[in-house]
Amino acid sequence: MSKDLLEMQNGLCYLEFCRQVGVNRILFKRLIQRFPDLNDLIQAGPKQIAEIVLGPPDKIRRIYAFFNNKRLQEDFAQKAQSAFELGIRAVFYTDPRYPGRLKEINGCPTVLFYRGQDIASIFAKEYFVTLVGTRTPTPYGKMVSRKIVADLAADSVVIISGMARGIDAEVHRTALREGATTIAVIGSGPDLVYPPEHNDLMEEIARTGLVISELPPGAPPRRQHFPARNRILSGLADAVAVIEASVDSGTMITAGFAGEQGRDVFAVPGSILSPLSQGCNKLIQEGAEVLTSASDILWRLPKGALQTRIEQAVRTAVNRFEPEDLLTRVINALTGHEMTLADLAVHVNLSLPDIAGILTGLEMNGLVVCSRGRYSLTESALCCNNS
Amino acid sequence: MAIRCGSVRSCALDGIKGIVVDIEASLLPGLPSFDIVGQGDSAIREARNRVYAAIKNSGYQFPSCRITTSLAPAWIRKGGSGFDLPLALAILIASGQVRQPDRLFCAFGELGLTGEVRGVPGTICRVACCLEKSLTPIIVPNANASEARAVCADGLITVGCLRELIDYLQSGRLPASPSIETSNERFPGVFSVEPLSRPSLALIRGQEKAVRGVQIACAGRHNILLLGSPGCGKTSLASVLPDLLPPLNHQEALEVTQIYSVSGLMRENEGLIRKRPFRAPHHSISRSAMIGGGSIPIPGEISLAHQGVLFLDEMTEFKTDVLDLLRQPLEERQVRLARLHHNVTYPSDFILIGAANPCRCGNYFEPDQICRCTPDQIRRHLRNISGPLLDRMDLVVEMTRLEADILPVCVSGRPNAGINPEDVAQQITACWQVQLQRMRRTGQHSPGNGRQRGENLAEHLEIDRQMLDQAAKMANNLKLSVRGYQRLLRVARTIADLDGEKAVQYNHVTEAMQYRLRLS
Repeated sequence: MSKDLLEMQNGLCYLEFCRQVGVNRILFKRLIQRFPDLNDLIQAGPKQIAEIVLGPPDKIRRIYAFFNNKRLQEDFAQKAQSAFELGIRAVFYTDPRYPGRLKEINGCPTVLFYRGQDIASIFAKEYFVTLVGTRTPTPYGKMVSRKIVADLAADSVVIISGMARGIDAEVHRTALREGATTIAVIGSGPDLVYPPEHNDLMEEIARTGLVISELPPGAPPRRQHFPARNRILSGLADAVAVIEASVDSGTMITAGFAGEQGRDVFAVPGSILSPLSQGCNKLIQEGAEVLTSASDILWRLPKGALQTRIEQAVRTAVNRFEPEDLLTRVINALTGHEMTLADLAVHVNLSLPDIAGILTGLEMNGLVVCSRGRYSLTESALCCNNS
Repeated sequence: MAIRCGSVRSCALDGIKGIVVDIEASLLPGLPSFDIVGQGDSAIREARNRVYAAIKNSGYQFPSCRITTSLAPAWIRKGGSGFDLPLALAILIASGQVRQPDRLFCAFGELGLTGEVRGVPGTICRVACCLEKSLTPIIVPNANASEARAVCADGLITVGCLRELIDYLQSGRLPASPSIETSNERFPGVFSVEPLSRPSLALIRGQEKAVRGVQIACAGRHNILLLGSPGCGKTSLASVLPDLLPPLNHQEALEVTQIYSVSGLMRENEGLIRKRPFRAPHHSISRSAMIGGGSIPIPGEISLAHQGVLFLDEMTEFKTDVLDLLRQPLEERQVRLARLHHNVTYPSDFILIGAANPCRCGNYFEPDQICRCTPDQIRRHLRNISGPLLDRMDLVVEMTRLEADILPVCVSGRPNAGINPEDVAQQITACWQVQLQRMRRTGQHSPGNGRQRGENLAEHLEIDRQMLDQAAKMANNLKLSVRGYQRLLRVARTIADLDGEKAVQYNHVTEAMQYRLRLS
């Protein structure tokens, strides 16, 4: 039996176990610590279980009976097999492949089911941004999501959304069109599609990205699943952006989770007369960042983002030079000085056209500004120069 | 009584085109009088006195009867003193003192009181018109001989006085043509001084960015705005420009000479103008002096700068309405002057060079000087140049004062070893050639990257799809407008041309980006 299949079976088993025995997270954590392999747990006798589960003998018996119910276990094996054939996989909280960001949040799912590409390689990527919004967007909302996602995609940010109708779908579609990796976090088992018209979209997302759910295969989309799903949406990302939302929508729940989880919350401002902008405007009122362009988000991503952007900038600006060498030369020359183009050319010993090209690259990345005919470093350049 | 009539062909001016005019004279019984009909201006009304004196003083009789002369077609307004000669001739023919010549000819010229023939403006246009209509021989004043010869080798009779003309018409004897030295070495423009005493590119120190900017502007015929403190060399830099531009080709030389001729700005014995004009009007200039005007419109500065450079020093000091008049000619490269009875179109295809201080006190760019201008004043200062006009400046270059250590070199008079003006000029000429070929290839209306506009821009500039996308990303990143993006493409194309590259590359676009306007 392959490891993946086993993992899947264990996942199903665990969820059913929680349901039947009424085990809570803390107890499960203790069980997992004692029996890193769930199989050991199945093999364990009531005595060993009693060491961990400090409960009435009745409960311990129930646990023991659960794991030794042959029929039940076979049932899991069968379900696991069919889900596995559909390309669905499971990953446990304890697994190193489990997304690190999600571990940080309160009430993170113990087991995740997913479809699509290799979960480890996708979560090895650097930046994750969740973009969510209403299911009934205005043209403005659609336009904004297309623009922002396209710009984020250009900086190889992984785009996360909820695969709902409206903004979510727009976000996924744009990401796919721009060749970005995209992740859908859904409110049903990963074998079911909700809304049904997104069948093709889900297949396409799975082809290059991931479809994730905390619900086991076969779980139908239920009203109560979605708010819980929202905590995963925000938990997976570095930043959460709300494109359009009414005041009492699921999107606002996602934003609330993001705030609790310490993620940066961005909201796109809109007309005060549009009900679909009320949510965003309220978020801004409450202290969310105003989102006017993708760079607003990019600048708030962890420190590493800046550094790669500088290197990228320099590499694209002048591919003839050693990036580090050039970066240091230009930035060192400008540190603490304001210089004209001609002065700088002499200082770095480059021709005027070349230095002009480099400066454009730096300027585009917000590292250099030109004012009154002289170039100088911006604050963001200074902070990454020091680091 | 026999009909006493005489008729002579002449040529009037309509813009820079000539119109053939029939001058008729009819002698009728009645009290002696002399009328000229046919919508002439005051110069034509005064012709009566000149013609009278010239006929008398040349030894002929002025007929004492009722004389009516007509300039046909009568519905066109005519002006100037060029009809003196044909008027006198028509009267002499009508009165029988000169026999009606049997062949067609065309004559124009101003008469002095003693009968001498003086030069008139617009000779080159009139001669061209007569040639087109095969009205030869063409009789032109001696003073305009060089100009006329520029377009016409045969069939030209130059005359010095009325008698000479009549001798020729009666006996076929050619008047002795004076030996004329044609001078064509001057820069038509406000510089009365000759090239040697003007600064040369080699004498310009520092300001490398501006020098490069001007070089790009010349190479691609872009409009450029130089922003900088007083005394940082804006004017010197602009005035080296005529040296850098390639000489006029024959067609261009004709157009320029026609405009100067119509404006009466040709010097005596001046032939075709070969060098590109450089016009630098003072900022107190009026609207009609700028674009041309008058009830019979004459060319303004923008037409006098045709095929050359219009330099507006202290551009912010010009009246806003005067500057705004430049917008349409900058797009259409000609100016249509509409009058009630008269519409004239003058070509006005020029490179616009503006120079301005960044603020009122001029110290805004100088870190070690105190600029007391408030941010609002600074904004208002440049706002004098309207947005649409700024949009048409492909390059904007900031200039700062030179550092103290190169000041002594500036006054030493030693040329800058780094720059050879001839090399630069050669490079620019090569660029123009490349652009001329591109014009033929891509179906542009006129050569020059700086002149390309509109939806076919990418095709005309031969920039590939991929580079367009990259440039668009950059433009988007640095918040350029659509016009800003188009400017970027035009300038990038010229930089690539200067580099001798067929395709516009990334580094060309990134360099072009540094010559954009930043209002901060």
